[in-house]
Amino acid sequence: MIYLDNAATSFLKPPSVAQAVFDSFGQVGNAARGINQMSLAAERIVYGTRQQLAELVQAAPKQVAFSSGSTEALNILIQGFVKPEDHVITSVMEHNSVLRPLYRIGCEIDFLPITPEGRLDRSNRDALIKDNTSCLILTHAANLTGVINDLADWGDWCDKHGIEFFVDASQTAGVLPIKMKDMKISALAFTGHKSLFGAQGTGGLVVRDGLDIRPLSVGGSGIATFDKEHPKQMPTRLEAGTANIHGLAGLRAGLTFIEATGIDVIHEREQSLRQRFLGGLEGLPVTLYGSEPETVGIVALNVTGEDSALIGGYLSEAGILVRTGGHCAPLHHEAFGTVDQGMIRFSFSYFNTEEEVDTALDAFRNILL
Amino acid sequence: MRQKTLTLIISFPTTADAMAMEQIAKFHEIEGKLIPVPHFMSTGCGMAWKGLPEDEEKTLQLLTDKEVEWEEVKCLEY
Repeated sequence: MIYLDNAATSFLKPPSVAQAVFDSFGQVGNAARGINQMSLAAERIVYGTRQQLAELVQAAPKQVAFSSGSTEALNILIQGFVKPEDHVITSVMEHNSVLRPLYRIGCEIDFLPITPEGRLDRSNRDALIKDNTSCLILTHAANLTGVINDLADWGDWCDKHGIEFFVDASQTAGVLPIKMKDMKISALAFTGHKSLFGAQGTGGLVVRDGLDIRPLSVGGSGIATFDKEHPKQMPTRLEAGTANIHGLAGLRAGLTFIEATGIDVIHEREQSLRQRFLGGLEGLPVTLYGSEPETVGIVALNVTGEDSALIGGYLSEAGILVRTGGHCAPLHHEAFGTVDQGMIRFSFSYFNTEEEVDTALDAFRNILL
Repeated sequence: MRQKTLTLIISFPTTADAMAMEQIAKFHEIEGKLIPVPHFMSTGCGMAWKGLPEDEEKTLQLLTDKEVEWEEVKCLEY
């Protein structure tokens, strides 16, 4: 079996991640629930993870609130900030975890289009700004194609127009540099189980100092027990209930691996595998989508005239695991005209090998030729 | 009953601040430990730092430098 669905979740992770999760079961009580040794041990894991995550994205530890993943983080952010009377700018690249919270609120939305090559089309963006525009919500890299958006440019643009800049870093945290201050990012949603190599059920929201987000959930915080309102201080402001300590122990190990290995090394490795795969596609009857020179480690394609699910099924029978279908990105498919066909997405990890890429190419060729 | 001594106690608004205090103390070799917040201080995060009175100035300066928030500071027999 060759796993090439790392954009969905990274199956291959540093061994230290599973070990840290396992070890945590014998080490911790509940975090932020007093000062007994087991509670402090849990809180040290939580705080240490905050620190490492904050360092990764150029933020302060207290600005990092943990969640079950980027979907929950985006719901906290969008439902806690956007009002029905607001106008919001986002893009056709976005995942349903951005789109559906916006639709639920019922605010006015404008969508940045893409060029035929799959890049975000910036040509008419100034015309989208209105008096009631409150924010831009943008993915750092499209989950469907892997195309990377220039956060520094968009941060400057938001700053120029006085609107907040919210970023979905589900596909990029841990594999591309993110500097919240330098890039003028107001809030950043991340997930732990993809390129941060952590466990599923981890993720969070990093919020710039001074930006108040109304919490989605309130309740047990371990502090200010006799107040009727949930505490206002970050990170407690956006966290309620028992944290996923065991998951965070794994996430911390993932962050430690990334620090030791280097983001550039990880990205270059993924690029190398991606380029090898792209090179092997020459001459095959496929259509590539968003095949910029550099994306995160994704190749999105279709076999001319064929349902993506059919090809995905053949690949699965050959032991090559990829994602097919809609990928939770409905507007992106509309823009490419692939609503019916879907897309086949190969996504590579730092831990994949050249041999696996070659084997996947051989299997793909055998299906097509 | 254990004998009470003159003690520095600092309370914090969040557990993140309390954990930052613990890390700072470890790094700068400041003597002390986290304790349950005493009843006469604001409940805050439920954690307080118990240290030496002579370290008060140094400790508060480090907390300021590291942008760690605290709620109350007391020196008393505890």
